[in-house]
Amino acid sequence: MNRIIEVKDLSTIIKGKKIHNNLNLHVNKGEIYAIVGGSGSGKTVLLREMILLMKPTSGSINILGVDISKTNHNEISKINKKIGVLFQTGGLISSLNVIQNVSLPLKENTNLPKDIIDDLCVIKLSLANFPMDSVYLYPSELSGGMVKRASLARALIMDPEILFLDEPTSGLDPVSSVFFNNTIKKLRDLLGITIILITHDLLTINSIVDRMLVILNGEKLAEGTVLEVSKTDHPWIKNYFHAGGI
Amino acid sequence: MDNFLRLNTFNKDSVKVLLIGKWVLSSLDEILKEIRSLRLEDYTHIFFDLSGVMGLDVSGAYVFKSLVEGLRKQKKHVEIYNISNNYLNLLELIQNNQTELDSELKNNKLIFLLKIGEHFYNLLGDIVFFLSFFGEICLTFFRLLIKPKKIRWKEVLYEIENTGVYAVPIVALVAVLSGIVISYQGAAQLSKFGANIFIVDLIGLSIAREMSPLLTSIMVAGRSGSSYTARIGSMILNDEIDALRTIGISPIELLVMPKFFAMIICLPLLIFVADIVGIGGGLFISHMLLNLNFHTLIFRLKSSLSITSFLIGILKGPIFAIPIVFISCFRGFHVKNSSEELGKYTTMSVVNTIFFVIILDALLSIIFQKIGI
Repeated sequence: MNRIIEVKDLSTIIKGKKIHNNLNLHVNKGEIYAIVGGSGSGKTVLLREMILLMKPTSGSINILGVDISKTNHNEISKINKKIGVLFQTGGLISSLNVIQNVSLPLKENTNLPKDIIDDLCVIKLSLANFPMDSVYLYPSELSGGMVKRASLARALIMDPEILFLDEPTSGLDPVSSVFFNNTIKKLRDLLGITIILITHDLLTINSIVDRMLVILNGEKLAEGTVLEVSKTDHPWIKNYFHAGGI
Repeated sequence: MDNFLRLNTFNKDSVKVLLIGKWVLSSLDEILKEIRSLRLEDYTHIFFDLSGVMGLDVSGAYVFKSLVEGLRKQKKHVEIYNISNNYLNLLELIQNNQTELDSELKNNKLIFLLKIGEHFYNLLGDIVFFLSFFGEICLTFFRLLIKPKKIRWKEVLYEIENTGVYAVPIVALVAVLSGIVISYQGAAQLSKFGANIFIVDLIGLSIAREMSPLLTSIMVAGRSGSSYTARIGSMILNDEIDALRTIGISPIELLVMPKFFAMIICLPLLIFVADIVGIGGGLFISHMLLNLNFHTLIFRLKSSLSITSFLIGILKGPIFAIPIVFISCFRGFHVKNSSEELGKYTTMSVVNTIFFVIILDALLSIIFQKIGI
């Protein structure tokens, strides 16, 4: 099972507006896969469909060998345990502090004793470079970068096979975003997780991404390794890769 | 039972443990159970063989590592064989990332003292904040009195529509129901004494003077007060208030004062509506229950309900409007950074406004009693 995610002929229509038009893509196991596209091109909707928050209008999405457009509730919760998601604005629960947020999935889904849960949380927070003196803070007291890191730790806590990141470096300063990129790469190399990310950040694309997809207005423009895509002859893609190369 | 650890005892003291299966989070429960049942601490020499491990994630590696460390702490001789580079890296990663949590706050036995202190500190902050808020409101109010042109009439009209016009149905419903209740209760008692006609005095006075101002204010406090708090609070969460300040618009002038003027205008009018509907409903029920004709009822009402009593009821409107608007807006400005606070302060705002309305009503009753009107 080399192809961990396979999307076939995906179309999405929301309120009469066509979001995706016959989209095809696949993600291989263990790679860092980027989804790139202009604002409003359907990236986030695609991600939401892959993490089972939305259903596509037609077509199929195959994750870990399961066709999620035809699944029942039981299988969905099984898949949910195998994926971790970092939402664009963090998605941390505001009434829980950082360590409670990170331990929430473990408390809900396992019967592990509290000291083991705490230790696992500390390891994951440290992996995500979260400063240990701030674990009792509440989300509202955190800076943007710390929210991203706490949220990454929560996404990692169930040891997922696939990690979805929605604009992981948006709102971070260049130094932090290099750091964050390195963290993501380190996680992939050590844990063998497949990582799918939505990004606008050329820095991320050039430094850590293996393969990428470019969508514009719901149509696939190009898919392949970063080098392949950057050589595609399309004005939008040319502009995109030029934007950072002044 | 030996799904994850398989023992191979050499002699009384040494044992070889073959690790098998997937050491991942989903099977961690069973692994822990197995480790506990094996009692590895009974041996002095323990050799772990990892050649049979099918998969290892961070959680599994953590459990293995703490098992090894626990045994080493008890001065056992532990050796690990056949560990792949990948797994070794994983163990190293955990070693590097395992830090002790600063548990000072976590296990503080005096935490309740901390809570009490925090509570009083917050209360003090509340009082200071209220004073500064009240000061800003007074300043803005007098500034607007001097320059009435700066009153934002468009906002005032919008608020009148929202807090006044749209509240009419619910206020009228509550008023008519209270009228019906009073007249039912009154009729049962008064008919025993043959004092049927006095039902009009009862309904007129109690509704116009007490019931309709109080019930209307409570309805409006619950309906509009909570919405004021929530609206201002969510504007703060969106940085809208800060944006207004940088643009040079005083949030008090734009958000609080129009609500205040609207409420001062609306509440007496709503009370008037409640008076009419409430007394009307009460008289209608009296007509049905006690066989008094409408002409008699109206005539009696004219002589029993003095204009002073009626005006006192209406006048309570602007007086109650003050705590309703100011407390609910004050609570709205209290929200700082989370949606949880928004809920908390909205609840607080409704409780506080209703409480203050009732206290004010009681105070006014005593005052009117003393000065004899």
